[in-house]
Amino acid sequence: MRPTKAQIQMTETIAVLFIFFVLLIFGMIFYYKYVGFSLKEEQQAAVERRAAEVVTKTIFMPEIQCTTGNLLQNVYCLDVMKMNVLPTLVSGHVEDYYFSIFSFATVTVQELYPLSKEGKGRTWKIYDNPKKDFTFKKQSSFYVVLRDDAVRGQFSGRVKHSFGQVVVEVYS
Amino acid sequence: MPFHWIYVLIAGAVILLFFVSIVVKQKDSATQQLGTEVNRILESIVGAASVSESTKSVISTAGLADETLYFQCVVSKNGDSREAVMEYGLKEKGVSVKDTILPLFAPAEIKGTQLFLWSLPYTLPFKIIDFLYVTGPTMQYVLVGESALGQEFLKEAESVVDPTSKIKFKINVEKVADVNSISSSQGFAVRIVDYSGGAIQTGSPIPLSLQEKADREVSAVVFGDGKKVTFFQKEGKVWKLEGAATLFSLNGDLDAVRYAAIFAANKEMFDCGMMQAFKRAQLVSAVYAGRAEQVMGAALSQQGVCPVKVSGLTEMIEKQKSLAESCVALYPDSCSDLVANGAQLKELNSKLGDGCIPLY
Amino acid sequence: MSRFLKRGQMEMVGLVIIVILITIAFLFLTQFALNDKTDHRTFDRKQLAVSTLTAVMRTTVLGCSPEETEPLAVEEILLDDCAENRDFESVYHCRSADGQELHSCQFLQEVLVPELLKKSLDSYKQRYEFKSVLVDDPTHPLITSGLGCKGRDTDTSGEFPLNTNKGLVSSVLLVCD
Repeated sequence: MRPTKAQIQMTETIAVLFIFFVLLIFGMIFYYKYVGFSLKEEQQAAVERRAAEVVTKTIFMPEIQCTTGNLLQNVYCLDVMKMNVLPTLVSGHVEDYYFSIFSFATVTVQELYPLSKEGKGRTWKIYDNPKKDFTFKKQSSFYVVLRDDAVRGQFSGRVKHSFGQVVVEVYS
Repeated sequence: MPFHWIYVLIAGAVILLFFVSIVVKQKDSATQQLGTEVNRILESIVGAASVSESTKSVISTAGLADETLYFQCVVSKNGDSREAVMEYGLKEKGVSVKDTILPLFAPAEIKGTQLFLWSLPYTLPFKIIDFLYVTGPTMQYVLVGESALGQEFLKEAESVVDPTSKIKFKINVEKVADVNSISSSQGFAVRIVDYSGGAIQTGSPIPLSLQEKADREVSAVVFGDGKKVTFFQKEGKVWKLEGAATLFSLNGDLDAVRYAAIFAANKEMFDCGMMQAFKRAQLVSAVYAGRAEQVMGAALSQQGVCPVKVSGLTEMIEKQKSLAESCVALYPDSCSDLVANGAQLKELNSKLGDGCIPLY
Repeated sequence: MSRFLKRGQMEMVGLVIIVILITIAFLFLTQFALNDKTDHRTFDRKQLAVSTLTAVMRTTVLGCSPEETEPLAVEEILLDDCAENRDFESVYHCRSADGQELHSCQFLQEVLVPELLKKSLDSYKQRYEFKSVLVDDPTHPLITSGLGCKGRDTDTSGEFPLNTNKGLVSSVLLVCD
């Protein structure tokens, strides 16, 4: 029997609705994939921001920064004598204080020049609290001068300054 | 026929309601998200401003002109110890920032198109931490009484932050001869800073020009003799005493503690910030104790006067460390001894600076 | 019949138009989504340039004659000596890796500055250009290092001035793509 006008119309309507829902589903899949991608990008950007923040906080910490009496702070200068004692102090106060500053991260200071006769420079692990199951990890480095008051010129009193690197790894 | 139209109307209304409810829910959610994002950005700005000492910055908040920023500090008990938590953010929007580290002093609420941030180092006698002061263009600071400290505040209140864009850091500070000659515009919150020590007392009348203002918009700090500071709040037409605190500082130019009292919304915020500072002082003192040992070791191996100059250094810094611990636990008790010992350390360090390795 | 065909064709065209419109809308959305966000890298890179040059300038060297046990700072002592005695015998002579005593300019140019920048910026494959010049004679730099940053997106450390008896010495470190 030939389909009636109404039946053709119904079929047409159903077909249109079918196409509409197919398009809607495609749209939703595309949207959620985009949101997911954008979220990952945002997380990565947040980790990068945090890495820069942790570096800034490290080099400006009174516990590590060089001081010259009451004069303005020494920027990009870390005190070796302070660094010799800081890791022990920080490790004893991670949960009650320093976690609020650094969160999940590791902060290491390395002496790059001069090196010892064995070709090694001193290393200080200032903060060590990595995240075990991390999604993102970002490393950031800054170069600083390491002031060692224990090594001074006998006649001039000038203090030894080494070239060093602050390496920060943040986790999320 | 009309019957069909009713069906159409009902169906249409239901569909419309459905979409409207989605839009409203999304709007609320977007507002909360925006609030949280703004608070996060504010936290970054505050963090960046705080690490550089003696720095002034101006943040444009033109996009938040209709919003109110709030600041409050609460001391809570955490087992046997107390914890000072600074909370700030957009009022009733988003997740606020909670900070247990940075001593921040600000009015309870700020509304406006700019934020002024100023950091000063707190030293005891070595640098402990930077204090951050936050204020806005609708805060008015009125100085009463002749004082070099008042002149200093007037001088620091205005400066050009960025010569190229000519952004001006300008805190609303004015000096008056008499507390009753204060004038204030509507929309401004007023903080009276009394350097004379006697202009404001409990129960004394509020200046006439300020009586119409809301109670929370008018407050005062009085710097008395020695190291006392008293906080007052407007209550109706008279001053109500909030409480007194001690200025635990070594004085000198740009005394961070004094400015903390000026910018803090109330005594609670001042105490809160000081407790956070002393918590840090405990840790920084421990670092200097370790440094002092190394300084002693290096000095004792030297010839000349250095071995003599460093005598007593280790004991003094160890005492500073244990006094800091007591101060944190018993604030404000035991904190005055910390300052006194700090002064002695400062003197010893200045002697070391001449040819020997200094403590700081 | 032809009327039905025309209607059917019109409806197909309608559907195709809808699909095209939706595709264009998605393309627009994608374009906005992929727009560059705030460039944090520029800020970090500038700070990197400043901190690296600060560290290089303040590093001290031990074992230079005639003051073997005295730490000599790169900027304050060695660069100063290089600027003043570029065409003459330098006051300070520092040793190269093979023990040879070098003029302060030669030591900075061939040994120390390349070593420090190699351990820092080079290790992160960061392109840079370091230059130290007498302001009165900019065409003959005292010290240079790096592959150069001409025509590239660059961040600068800013000028580090040093007053010497031969005039002002300006040092700058550029960090680029």
